[in-house]
Amino acid sequence: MDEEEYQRELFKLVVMLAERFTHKESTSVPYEKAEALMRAVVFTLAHGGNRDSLVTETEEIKDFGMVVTDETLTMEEQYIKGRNRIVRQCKTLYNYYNQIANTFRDYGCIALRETFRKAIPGFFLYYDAEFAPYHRVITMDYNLLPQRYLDKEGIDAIAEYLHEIDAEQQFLAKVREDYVISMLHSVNPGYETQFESLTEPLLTNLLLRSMGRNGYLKQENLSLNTSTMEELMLVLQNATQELIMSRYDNNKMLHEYLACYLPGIAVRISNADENGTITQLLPGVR
Amino acid sequence: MEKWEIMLKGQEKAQIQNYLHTNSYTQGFGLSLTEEDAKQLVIAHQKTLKEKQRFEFGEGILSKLIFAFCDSSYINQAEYKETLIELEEIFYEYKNESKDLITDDELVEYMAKTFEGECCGSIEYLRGTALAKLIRKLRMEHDGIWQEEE
Repeated sequence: MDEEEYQRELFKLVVMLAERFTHKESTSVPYEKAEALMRAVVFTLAHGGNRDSLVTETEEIKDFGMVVTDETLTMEEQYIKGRNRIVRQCKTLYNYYNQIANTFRDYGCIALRETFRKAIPGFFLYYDAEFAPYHRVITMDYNLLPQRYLDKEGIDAIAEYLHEIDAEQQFLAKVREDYVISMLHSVNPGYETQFESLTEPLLTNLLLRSMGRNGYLKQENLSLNTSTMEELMLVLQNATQELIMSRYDNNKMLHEYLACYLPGIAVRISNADENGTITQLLPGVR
Repeated sequence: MEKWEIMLKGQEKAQIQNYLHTNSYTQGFGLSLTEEDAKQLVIAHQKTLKEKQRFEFGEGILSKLIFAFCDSSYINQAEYKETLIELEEIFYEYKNESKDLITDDELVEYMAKTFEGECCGSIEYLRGTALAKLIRKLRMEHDGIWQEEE
């Protein structure tokens, strides 16, 4: 299909959607609305492209950015296929949300609680799969570091965000809740009202403990036994790998999630070491 | 917004034919368009859409305006084309002003009824006073709904 034919077919779909939007009671819409409808058509078409039929539902949620145009379908067929997929994806994602909600803990963090218990259900309530499927609806205030959701739109962004929340919940759930809360209080008093992920302080704590056990911290003053940032980074990567193997059944998705925090943690530990404050990151150890 | 204009290209011929087809009905009221008039109406139509920042699909509004206004006692053949151009401008202006709260048919019907009655055929009055009243009414109704719901 050449560029001109593509534009013509796209135009037909925008007109079709505009007619549905106005219930055929108007023969025109403002440019802004037409732009929004065009965006909706393009987003939906992208979801109707060829995909590996063997992907699981969870992978389906994650991989929507990798669609290709299906040459065997007309654009209208691809559009309908995309719309059906978006609706199906909403249902799958809603089930996934409920699954996480069964064991969800907020550890006192208000932003996490509000985002998960109020904002995300609000998304399912107000998401418009037909006329604004690209819209995220909610702001996702609770900050999770990988932030892959920032590069995505609509249901894809929410899917990515839920995956990150799920990964964090899995990570936190293996540690005693009272320990997590007291550690957070010691490291960052007031964490309850902040928007930052709970992963980083807990992961920092667990990795420092591991480093202590494995001789990377001098026992007399808890200073680092590593000399360069690269060396520290390597130690942290190994400690994370060990943590994943020993406590999290070698969960690769979780490993990938935690790895995003390591550069920041390395800088934080290095700074703490320079200032002699590593003990503050290890409450209860000394 | 060039792409919206590009998408409309190639529809001119069909639009000209549509406008000319209305002659069979409007001639009964002593009004008709020449091919040159129809061409100028298409040009004016595209200019208005661009100015009013609207994307049109389907048959467009001019045919509806023609059928709604052709029996007016205030429109004559000498000013027919110019009047249609002005009516179309006013239509899109008020479509925007109403934030699309009013359908095409409702707005055309109101315009034709008011033009014939309250406006006594004055395009200026229609544009400046009568339609402004309608928009105020619409906005008040819309606000009223929200207040009651609260």
